[in-house]
Amino acid sequence: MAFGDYPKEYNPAVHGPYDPARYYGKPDTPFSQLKLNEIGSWFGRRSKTPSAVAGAFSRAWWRWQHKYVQPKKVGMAPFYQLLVGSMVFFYAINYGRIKHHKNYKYH
Amino acid sequence: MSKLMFSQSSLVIIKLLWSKLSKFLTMIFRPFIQPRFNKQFLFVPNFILAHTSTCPASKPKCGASAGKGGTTSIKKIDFKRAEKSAPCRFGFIPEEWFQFFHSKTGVTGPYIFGLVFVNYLVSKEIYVLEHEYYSGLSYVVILYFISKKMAPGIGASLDKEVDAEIAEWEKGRADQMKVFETTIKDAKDAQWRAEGQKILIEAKKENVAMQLEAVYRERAMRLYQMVKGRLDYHVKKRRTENKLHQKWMIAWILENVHKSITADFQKQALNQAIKDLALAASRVK
Repeated sequence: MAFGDYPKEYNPAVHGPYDPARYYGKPDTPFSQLKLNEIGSWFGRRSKTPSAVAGAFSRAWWRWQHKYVQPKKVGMAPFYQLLVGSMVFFYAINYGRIKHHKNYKYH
Repeated sequence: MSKLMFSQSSLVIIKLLWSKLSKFLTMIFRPFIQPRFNKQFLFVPNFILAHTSTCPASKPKCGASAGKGGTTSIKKIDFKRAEKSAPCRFGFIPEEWFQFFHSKTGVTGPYIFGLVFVNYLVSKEIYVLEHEYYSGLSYVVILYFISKKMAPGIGASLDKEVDAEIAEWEKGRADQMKVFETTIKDAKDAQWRAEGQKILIEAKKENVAMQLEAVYRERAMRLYQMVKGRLDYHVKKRRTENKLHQKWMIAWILENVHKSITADFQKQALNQAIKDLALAASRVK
């Protein structure tokens, strides 16, 4: 699989047109339906190669895109989400500086 | 030589980087760029993608090699573009987050959780209320009033533009379909005309055959007439010769007869004639 290729498991004859938000590998139990004690083994079964991780992020990105950004009539929600997300991100990376502005010594 | 190779390889690297960058930019800005400009300006060079073993469903190669049991029916698209963005509360928190709480805590649970969580962050000064917090508050107020007062109008006008855009694309599609249908109809017409051409050629062939037949008959007639003319000539010639021979024969015979008649024989004949006349007269009386 080179740059720009489809995932290995994707077969146009079986799956039809390519959906970038869909996982074409063997389906596992969805993360939201796991019991707490199954989470470890679930992560054990995941592929952790850089390309697999990148693929997971890419699918998440496209899921978000399909849900909020790509619909026909888009509201402000995706923009506010981006705004809040970037606020949290920049707060986190600047936390080392911001913490010096604390007003109380003891909590 | 090495310099040339270096420049080529650097060109390849630049192309590769540009393709990755343009893909990334396309991904980020896809919702903001009109799709028809995407491919012109943010293109990915073909050689990056050319060797892929899988390929889009429209290519027959994949369907032929990967179809199960010879059935190569390509699946229709089973995902559809949503009409509207998924619902959110407070402008950005997905509805699912609240639904997740409902079965466990009831309707107020997520709000209580949010309040408590924010309270925790603030009271422990994990979220520090520095100067940016207060400017943030004013931004939130401004954004709130904009989204309450002006957003419906802006949204309506933007939706109208979206509708116009989609109508334009649909119109393009319909026009293209119409063009293809016209092409098919023209091709059918052309086939029909070609059939007619066949009949026409048949008719022309028949016509030529008829002309050939006519010429053949005319020439046969001419041949007949020529031969008849020649034969007639021979007949006439023969007849004329015969006539001449006859004439000459008569003349020769008469001449000889005249030559053979002497004066004595004339006299004798005359006397015989007078005798015959007298005999005839006596018989009548």
